[in-house]
Amino acid sequence: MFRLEQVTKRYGALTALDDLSITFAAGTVSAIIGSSGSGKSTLLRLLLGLEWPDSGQILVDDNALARADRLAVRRRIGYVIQEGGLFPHLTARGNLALLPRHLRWPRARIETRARELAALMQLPESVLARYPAELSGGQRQRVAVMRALMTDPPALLLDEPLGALDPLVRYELQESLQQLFASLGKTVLLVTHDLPEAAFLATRLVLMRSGRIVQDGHAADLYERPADEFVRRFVAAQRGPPPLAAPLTPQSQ
Amino acid sequence: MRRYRALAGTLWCLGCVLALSRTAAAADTSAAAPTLAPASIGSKNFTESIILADILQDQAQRRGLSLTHHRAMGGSAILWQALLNGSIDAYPEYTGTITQQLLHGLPAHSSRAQLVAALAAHGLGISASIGFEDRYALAVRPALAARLHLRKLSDLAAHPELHYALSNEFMRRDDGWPGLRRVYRLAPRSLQGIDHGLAYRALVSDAADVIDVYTTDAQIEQYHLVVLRDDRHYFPSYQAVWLYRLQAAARRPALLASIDDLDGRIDVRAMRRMNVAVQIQRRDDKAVAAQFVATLAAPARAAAAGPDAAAAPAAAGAAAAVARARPTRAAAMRALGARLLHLTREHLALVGVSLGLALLIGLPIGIAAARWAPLGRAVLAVCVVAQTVPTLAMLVFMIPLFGIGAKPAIAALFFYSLLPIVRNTLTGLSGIPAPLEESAASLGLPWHVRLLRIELPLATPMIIAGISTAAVINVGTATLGALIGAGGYGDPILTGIRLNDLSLILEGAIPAAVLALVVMAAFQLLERVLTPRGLRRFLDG
Repeated sequence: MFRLEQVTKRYGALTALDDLSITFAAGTVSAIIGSSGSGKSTLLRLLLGLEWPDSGQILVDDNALARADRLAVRRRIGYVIQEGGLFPHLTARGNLALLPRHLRWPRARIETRARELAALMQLPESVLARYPAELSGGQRQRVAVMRALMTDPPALLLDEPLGALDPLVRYELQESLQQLFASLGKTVLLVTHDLPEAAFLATRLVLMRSGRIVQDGHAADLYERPADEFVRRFVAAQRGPPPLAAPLTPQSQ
Repeated sequence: MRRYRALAGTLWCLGCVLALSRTAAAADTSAAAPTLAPASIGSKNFTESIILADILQDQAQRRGLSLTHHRAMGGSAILWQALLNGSIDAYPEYTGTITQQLLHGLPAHSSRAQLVAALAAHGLGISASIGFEDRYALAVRPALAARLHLRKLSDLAAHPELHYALSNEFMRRDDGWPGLRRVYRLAPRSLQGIDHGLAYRALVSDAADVIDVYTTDAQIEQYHLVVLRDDRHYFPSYQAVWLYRLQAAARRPALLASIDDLDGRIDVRAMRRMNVAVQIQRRDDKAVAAQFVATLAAPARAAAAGPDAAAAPAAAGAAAAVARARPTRAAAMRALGARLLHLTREHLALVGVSLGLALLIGLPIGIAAARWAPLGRAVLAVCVVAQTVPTLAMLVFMIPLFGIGAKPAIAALFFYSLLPIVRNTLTGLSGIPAPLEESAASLGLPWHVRLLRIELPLATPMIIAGISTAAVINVGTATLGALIGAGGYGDPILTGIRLNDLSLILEGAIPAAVLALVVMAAFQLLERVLTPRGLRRFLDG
């Protein structure tokens, strides 16, 4: 569904993406991991047309992304960010309804879809009437995922969606997301710097460093066949419980 | 959505105020102008000028010409601008002011022929002297004059310890203080600028020792002040005359004839008596003027007076009615209520229209400025500059463009309201947190939908705070609109200062203060209504 061809993006002296080429097939779940500043968020922003590459091109469904059709492309992609993505002046329901209302969906259809997604994300319907400031952090992120899914787009991009949550909430939401990805069959790109989370949610892991791809494969490849010293160190930096247990979480496939 | 509708409703209401006042203005002119635009005259913001204009208005009425009198419009600069621009056709002026202030480059003791020629170049005519001179002089309290043996201006040089309180206009005029201090070698240790209307209060309450006066001022008689003799003949002649537009005089012979009727008819004693009647005895200036015109008509024009014969007793009757009228308390309260209602309506029209326009123009400018940063900086700079222009100067700038009355005042208030609205719109929109901006962009909504549904609602508290600031400034500044005939609460304030009447000043000042508080409270309420609970909680913590 997404293809980047020799894409380079610089911010002043900093090179965020360095001659990057990669393809994400439709219906796959991929996690992009790496330390801060490795270019993983920039990659998502380029796919949405929020940023434009200095060179190279981006293809969405085999069509080169142009400024003229970025609104159409954004509507085919659901986007969830770490924190603050919900609009504080609108209730959860108002947030969900923004795009559908612009697309002239009837009120009843918006309501049906909102309830459907609330059930899918295990949220009581009463939450829909509340403002973001009246929700817990976990509830907020669930509503944010719902908003991204309202118009049932074929792709879902998540930029550190669980980064600001406490461990218990995070654990629950990881489970919800895993079930969601499995049941919906969408093209999912998840940006995280948490290796176990990536391994738990995605089948394909792309490890980035300084705007380049260091390793691209299954979780097992990273753990067992690290491409270089950086990968080895990145894997080792994920602390397990003492005494050192298996690096995979109990729920891994 | 509901919030947005409420905001739209507010804008709609402001639009209605604007439309209403427009139609009202249109109805005014259409009713008053069946054929020729009505001739109008102006007067400066002091009693004598107003009485003179009243007298001319009365005299013209006798000749069958109806004149509109724009009362108490301000100082010479404003009247001169209004005359040049055709907003008024005539006003009473003093020859010294013409040579010293209005026509620069004319010698101080110009001949009449020189004056006539110089004014004709501006399309203006000048009448013969009305009959008295009202020149500047310095006055002191009688007790002080006796103690220090002050009789003439040159006596002052020996007393630099005296406290001078001089009117702002006198301090700045070429024929005022700068020349006076040179000629008489005055070097007071304490010198203060003050409004002429307030100067007498300062003098009699010992807050000042020397003030500038006009020789016909009523207070000279009231307080038995000693007017110091101009022993070095410094002050130029200040004969009272009429300045008029030659074009208007040609088109309306009755105007010129009425002006001629008054040639040499008012001597200095008559003028001072009329000033006393209005300022000290608190009689209505129109009644005083009518009474004078009646005496004028009786002996001199008895032969020619067909309609005058009927009008004279009528005028005398009016004067008697004013003198007799000792209204009951209830009637006085009703009259006060009616006056306040009228003033409030005028004031609200000034504030509503100028603020509405500033909103209609300022909001889009603020939005555009938030989208293009260089434009934003440029627009803000212009607004800041407009804000620094003193109100009086702003009013004078507006007269050539908009004439006199409410329009130039509204234009000036509009410019003062622009800065807070533009600045707060810009700040509100550019202060939206980056994650929210990004979420809005990623939804795939076109920019105008983003603006209406997301960005403007998020900026609403900030924008309303800006409008509220603009409105409060506007309510206060609008009182100065009375200087150019815009009406409103400024009217009783200016008249009160002129007549030294504290209760009249308060009649304007208290409602203005109350209105400012009400406006502020209304906007606070509006802010609460328009800011959703969720946004309030978000902003609070």
